[in-house]
Parts: sequence; structure tokens; C-alpha cells
Amino acid sequence: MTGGTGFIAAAYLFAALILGAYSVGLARRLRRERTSSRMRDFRHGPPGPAGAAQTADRKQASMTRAK
Amino acid sequence: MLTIGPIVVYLLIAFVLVTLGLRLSGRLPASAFGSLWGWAGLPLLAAGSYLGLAWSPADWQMGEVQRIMYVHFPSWVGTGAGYSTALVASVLYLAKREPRFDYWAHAGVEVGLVFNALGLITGSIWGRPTWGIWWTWDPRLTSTAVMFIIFVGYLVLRAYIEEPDTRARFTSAVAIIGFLNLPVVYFSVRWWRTLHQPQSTPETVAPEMVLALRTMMLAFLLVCGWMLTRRWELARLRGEAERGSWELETVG
Repeated sequence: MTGGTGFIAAAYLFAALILGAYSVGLARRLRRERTSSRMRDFRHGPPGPAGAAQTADRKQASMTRAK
Repeated sequence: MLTIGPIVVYLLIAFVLVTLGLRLSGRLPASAFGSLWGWAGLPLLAAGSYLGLAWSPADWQMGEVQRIMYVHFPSWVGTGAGYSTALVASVLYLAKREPRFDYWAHAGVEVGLVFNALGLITGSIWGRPTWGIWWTWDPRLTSTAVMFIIFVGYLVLRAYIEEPDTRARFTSAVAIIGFLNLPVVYFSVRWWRTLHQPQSTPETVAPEMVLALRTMMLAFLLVCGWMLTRRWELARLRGEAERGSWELETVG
């Protein structure tokens, strides 16, 4: 490679840096959000009718244990 | 390489179309679709970089610096894919008012912006040795910068509106208006006399360059698909939590 090597290197470096940083950041944000979502589901049940049914089941189970 | 390469590229295009069809028909979950595209995109990025940097010939006029094209042009493929996703999802949101379309629109804009920024930066780096300047207010560059600013505005607007449905409605309108700029960007090099060169066609470019460029375009498209599905999942998880707490607040 002759003329413009620095410019070529800079362009490819920026591409690797921007795509790499965004991908890593996205994966981290997603992992954190998945953990929070699982914690919320554990405490309150998932959103919607399925969640309400699950919460009701859990309440029923805890009442049965209490008896 | 010139005999096997194009066949591999066509096979990959078939892979893209089949998996996209399966995803749109609901037979392939978004996460599996994203993983498939992501894992296919990584080796393709490496192969495309090799083809672009070492295997393809240098341009007769610009010389070696033309190799920037293999990251500059594919960035616009990612930008187009991201913003197109946002457009379709925004139109669908306004028509059906289902939050999942708002999540896709948000993902499309954010991922589109990443590739848009990359395209602007690599274009500027390419402009310095070929035009002698980092930036000029040329119609192609200006319309691209305007598009970038409109979609940054989309994200700013999202951050300012609290009520999820109002936010989704307003930002859908912004995404549609922002997308109207895309044809202007594309045709700017034909409509006006610009410093930026018009689009090349495979007939006017060496076959080695076409192969390297198509490989990188596919690689960027696959990586873009991976990012879109992951960003959509993030938007969905946050959106569901937010809508849940918003309903609790308004009911309570």
C-alpha cells in the first residue's frame, strides 16, 4: 500500500471503533435490562393477563403454605 | 476467486431473503433471526475487509485511498436499512397503535444513526486526500447532515415526552418526515452539480471491486440486522416496564 495509507487506516479504525463500541454497549444494556426484567417478573409477574394469572397463582400457593 | 466469489455472494443474498421472509412471516423469532445474521455477518466482515484492503486492485485515478469506499458505501446500506425500518414501523404504529411498532421505529432510528455517523466520518476522511478538504456544503453532504440532525432530533424528542403513546405518535411523524429526506440524499448527485461523484454501476467498476463491495455491503447489512433485533428487544423490555408503571401511576 502506498499513498493514503493513513487515511485508509483511519477510516477502517473508525468503522471498527464505532460499530464495535455500539455493539458492546448494546449487548451490555440488553443484559442489564434482561436482568431487571427478570427481577420485575419475579416480584410482580410479567405484564398483561399472563402476569396477573401468575401473580394470582403465586398468592394462592403462599396462602396454601400458610394454612 | 472471481468464479466462486459471486456464487457465494448470491447464496448469501438468498440466505438474507429467506431468513427475512421467515422473520416477517413470524416463523423465525426476532432473537434467533438477529443471532443468525450476527454470526453470518462477523466472518463476512473479515472476508470483506481482506478483499477490500488486500485483494481488490487500486483505483486508476484515486489510487489506494479508494479502498475507503469498502467501509464508506456499506455504511449507507446500514443507514438505509435502519431508517427504512423506522419508516415502515412508524407508518404501522400510526395505523395500528401497537407499541411493538414504536419499539421497532426507535431501534431503526438509533441503529440508522450509528451507520449514518460512520458514513459521514469515513466520507470526510475520504474527502481530505481526494478533494483536499474535510467538509464542504455540497448538496449530497449537506442533505446527509440534515438527515442526521433530523434523526438526532427524533431521539431528543423521545427523551422529552413522558407519556408513551403521545411520544410514539409524535416521534412516528418525525421519523416519516425525516425519511422524506432520503430520496433527496440519493438523487442529490443527479439533481445538482456536486463535488460528490454520482453513483457507480457494476458495469463501470472492476469485477474485483464489485465483489469486495458486495461482500462488505452484505456484511454491514447482516450486522445492522443483528443490531436492530437487539435494540428492538431493549426497547421492548424498557417499553413494557415503562407502560406498566405509567398505567399504575395514572390508575393510582
